[in-house]
This record gives sequence, structure tokens and C-alpha cells, in this order.
Amino acid sequence: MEILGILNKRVIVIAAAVFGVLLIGAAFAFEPVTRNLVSTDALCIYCHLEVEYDPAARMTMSKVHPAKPEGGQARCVDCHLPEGFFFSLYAYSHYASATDLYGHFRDRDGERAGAWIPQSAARAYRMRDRLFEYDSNTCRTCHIEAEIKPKRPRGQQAHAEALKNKETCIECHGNLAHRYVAFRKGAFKKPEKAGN
Amino acid sequence: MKKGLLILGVAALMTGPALAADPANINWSKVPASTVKLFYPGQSSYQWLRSPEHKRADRKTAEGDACTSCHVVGKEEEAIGKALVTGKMLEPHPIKGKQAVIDLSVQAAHDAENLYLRAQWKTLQNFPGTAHPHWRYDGKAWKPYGYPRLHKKVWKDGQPAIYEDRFSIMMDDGKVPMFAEQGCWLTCHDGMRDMQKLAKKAKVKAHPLLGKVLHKKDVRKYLPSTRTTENLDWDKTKSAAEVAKLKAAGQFVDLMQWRGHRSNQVDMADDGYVLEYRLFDKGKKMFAKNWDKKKKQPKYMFDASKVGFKAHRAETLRDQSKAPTLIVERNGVKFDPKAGWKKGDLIPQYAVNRSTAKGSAADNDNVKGMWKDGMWTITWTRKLDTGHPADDKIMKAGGVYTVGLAVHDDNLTTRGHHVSWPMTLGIGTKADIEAVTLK
Repeated sequence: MEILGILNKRVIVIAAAVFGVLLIGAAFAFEPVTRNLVSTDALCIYCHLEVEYDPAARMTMSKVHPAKPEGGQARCVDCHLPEGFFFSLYAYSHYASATDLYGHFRDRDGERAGAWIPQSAARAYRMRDRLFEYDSNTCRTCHIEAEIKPKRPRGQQAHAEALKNKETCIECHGNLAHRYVAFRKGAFKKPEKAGN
Repeated sequence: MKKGLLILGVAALMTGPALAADPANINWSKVPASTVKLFYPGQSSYQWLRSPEHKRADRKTAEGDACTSCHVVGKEEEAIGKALVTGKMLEPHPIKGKQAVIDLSVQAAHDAENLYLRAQWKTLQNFPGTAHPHWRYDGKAWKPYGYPRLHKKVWKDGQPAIYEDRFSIMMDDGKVPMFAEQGCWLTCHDGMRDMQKLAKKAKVKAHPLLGKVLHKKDVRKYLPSTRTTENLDWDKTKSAAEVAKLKAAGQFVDLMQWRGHRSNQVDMADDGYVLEYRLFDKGKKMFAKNWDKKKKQPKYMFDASKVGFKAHRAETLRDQSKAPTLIVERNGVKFDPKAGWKKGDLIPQYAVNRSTAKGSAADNDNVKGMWKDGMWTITWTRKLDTGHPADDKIMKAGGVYTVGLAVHDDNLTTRGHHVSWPMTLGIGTKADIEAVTLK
């Protein structure tokens, strides 16, 4: 009995260790698996209209956003899914349509302000607001602001001004990939600093 | 002795202001010159600047950012001008050989009374643009002859390109919102002559303000404050009463134009303003249409006893020894239909008069242009205080004003000009163009 008890303890410890290793492993693997194997463009396009969002589709409304300077096509997640465990968790709630479809079906802010806003514009506004809030974090996973050297003088001046004024990418670089949506009036308002 | 001093004193008083008020007496070699790169803007309207085609700048432009917050003064004009003048964008009828930029040399000085400007630029052609459209006798009737180069009659029908050269100044004193940031582009809109979405003549004529009150047939420059829609559609105007309120508050842009045919020959420039339309100041300007609508013939012709000819011929239009302008008080007489007209005789479509010009419209009465060796040199005297604040911008020493400069070169009007970014003009104070104080 005593032997069985020791064995049981060992089994439990080993099982717990294995479970722990698997859990930690899964936690580490969760994000890359989500990003690379689950959140594929094909999955996104399953719901989001191909003709709207897939730059490879016929008669598409979207433009190619190169993945590398030499070409290719950035994946949906490169721009729309920030890095990190919790953002990956968010992806699954998004798949369950708990956010876009039900949570943000209507642009309530716009409606409260008395404006009817098309859903495609409302989506663009939300995306831009997130990028603004998070300092264009997905842009910055590929682009390093300090290393960007625009060819034309106006680009050089605009980037110098943006650095000086602490502006973020999305404030100018909206409408890069998808159907044109005009910037919302008063978008990108920075909260006033205390004392100002 | 006392009498001698008195004479000297009076002489000094008379000589001082006379010297200062005549730009010909200013030693311009001592006045610093700024070179302003004017570039070809094509159809880059207010609306286009706020469209996605104005890449990565539409939002900021709509929010009122300055053109020069992105565009670098002195470095980009050539590239922008080239892209537009060649028809790569915003120019549906590119003109072969047209220059992308014009280097405009500007000097400025002032005294207690006047602002003095001197502007120089090289013309594309080896003759000055002193000719303007004429009436041509075709053996039976007088028909229009000559059009600006961008006119369909020129690029499609092969009519000759004839239009005066111009040098224009837009000015604001800070009362027009956004003019300091976006300058002339605030005034240039879709629907205007030679712009995209050209307004139909019948619609303009039927418009309650532009057609019925102002009696216009086309759309010209206007300011955002005079329209009611976000897109500033040309036909969505405020009421005449609302516009009058804006004018009374000084929310208009001063617009003065030196014209190679219609003002230069009488040493003047016109005086107008932009608000709900591009309008002339109150009073009477120096030129008027030379056409009798009832008789369908010109009102005036050249006086052969004074200039040796009663009409131009196509081959004499660019002959600088022959008066290019019909100046009624100097070389004109009433038109005589029985003067033995020959097919091909040409009479200017406009008649000019200095002596009858009056009021605020005649404020620019000392503006001289001289063309020599391929270059125009304009010397311009403008009273700091014209005494007409209702339709002029009143300047004062120490003040800084926003100006937009433009040149129409080589038989063009409307969008066919070269323009500057908005710039500052300082009267005796630091600015992009500093008018030095004369001592």
C-alpha cells in the first residue's frame, strides 16, 4: 500500500510537471500558433468580404501592402492583430463574432452625435482609433520610425514634424490598403495634459 | 534770406515725398531680392486637396494645416510643377514646352505712405504678352479672334493663342481663416472656369446670387466662408446679406493684377477682391469691353491720325512698335463702320482709359511694367492705407501680411498660371519678403 502511495505521489508530481510544461508550452505556443496557423487570411476572408479586403481578389477594393521592401503581401494579422498573449485571446472572441458583429454592429457614438455612418466607415474609424490609441503598434512591428528615410522633401519634412509633434503613423497613413474612407472629423484628438 | 529758406523748405517738402513715391527713384540694387519659385498648379483645387488623391495629406489639409508643413519651400516646386505641367496629373491639356516653374525675383520697400514692389521674371516667349483677344472682321461681321492657350478653340480648333501676361498679388491681414496656411488654394474650386466639374452657364445664370444678383455667367474664385456645404459647392452660397456681413468684417482677400494689355499701357494695375466671387473694387476700373451689343460692332477703333493705323493685322499683333492697346483718351476714336474695313482687320476686345478710372478700383495707379531682353520688370506702388478699407487690406508699418503671388505667362489665363505657396510680407519687419524701410 505504502509503495502504491509513493507511486501515486510520483505519478501525480510527474503528471503535474507534464501538465505544467504543456501549459507553459501552450502559453508560449499560443500566440505564434494563433498568429500563423489559426488567424490566416483565409479565415479572415471567410467572414470579411473577399472583394473588399483581399488584395488578390478579382475587382478588389483593397491594395497590396508589401510584406517586405522587395514585395509580397502583408497578412491581415500583420496590421490588425497586435503582438501579445491577450491580443491573441481577443482574436478568438472576434472569431465568435462577439465584438464586431454584435458589439460594434452600429456606430453608437456617431448615432448619438446625430450622424448615420455606413458600417464599412464605422469599421475603419474603429480600426484607426485603436491604432491611434496604441501608437500604431502593428505598423511599428515592421517599420522603425527613426529609420524611415522618405525620398521626397515633403515626406522628409512631414516625418520630421511627426517625430517632433509625437504624431503616430495612422494620423497620416490611413487609406493605405482598403477602400477609401474619409477621415472622421475631429479624429485623433489627443487628451489634454493635466494643467493645460 | 528768409524767402530763400522758405523756397528751399518748400522744395525739400516737395522733393522728399516725390522721390519716395516714385519707385523709379528707388535704388533697387540696395534692396534685398527674394527668389520665389512659382510652380504650375493645374487643377489642384480646394476640393482636390481634401480628396484621397492628395495622398497622406487630405485629413491634415481639411483640418487647416499649412501647405508648407509638408511641402518644402524651394525644394519641391520643380517636381510638383513638372508632374502637373506635363499632364501626369491634374492637367487634362498639357501645353508642350510649358515651363514647370518660374523664378520670380521680388524686392520690397516702404515709406510712411507706400509699399513699393519690384518683380521680375523671364518670359517663355521672346516677346512680351501685351496682346489680348481681338475682334476680327471676316468681310461681313466682327468675330472673336484669339483665345487663351487652354481654351478649346486653341487646342481643338486651332485658333491663335493670344492673351495678356499678368502678375497677381493676393493679400490678407489675418482676417480670412486659413489663408495664412493655404493661401490661394482657399479660393480655387471645382466648378470654376477651366477647373474640374465646370459649372454650366445656364445654371450659373439661374443662380439666385451669382446669376440674379451679380449677373455672372461663370464661376470664379471664392472663399470657403461664403458657401454652406462642407464640400463648398459653387452653387451653395450664403445669402447676399450674409456675404455683406463677412465683407464688413474684412473677411475677404485683396486681389490686385497687373495686366500686360489692359492695365500696363496706362501704368496701372486693377484692384479687386475675393469673397463670394472674384470681384472688382468699388468705382471704375481702367478697362471695359469694347463691344456694342446692339450694333454688334466695336465701340472704338484706333485713331489712324495718331498711331498710323485704324486696326491691327495678325502680323502686327506682336509688333512692339505698334500700340498694342486701344487707349480711348490717347489713341482711340469712336468706331466708324464705314471706315473701309478689310477682311482680317483686328480691333482689341477691350478699351482702356486711365482718366475715367476712379474710386477704390483705381487704387493701383502707379504700376509700370517694362519688358526687356526676355524679362518683365514690374515696379508697383501701393498706398499702405488706400482709404478704402471696405474692399482693400489696409497695411501699416510693422505689420505682417500673407500674400500669394502668381504669374500668367505665354498667353494663358485661369489655371494656366504659376503660383507661390502662401508667404509673409513684412512692412519694415522680418518676413519671407521684407519691405525695407526707406530713409
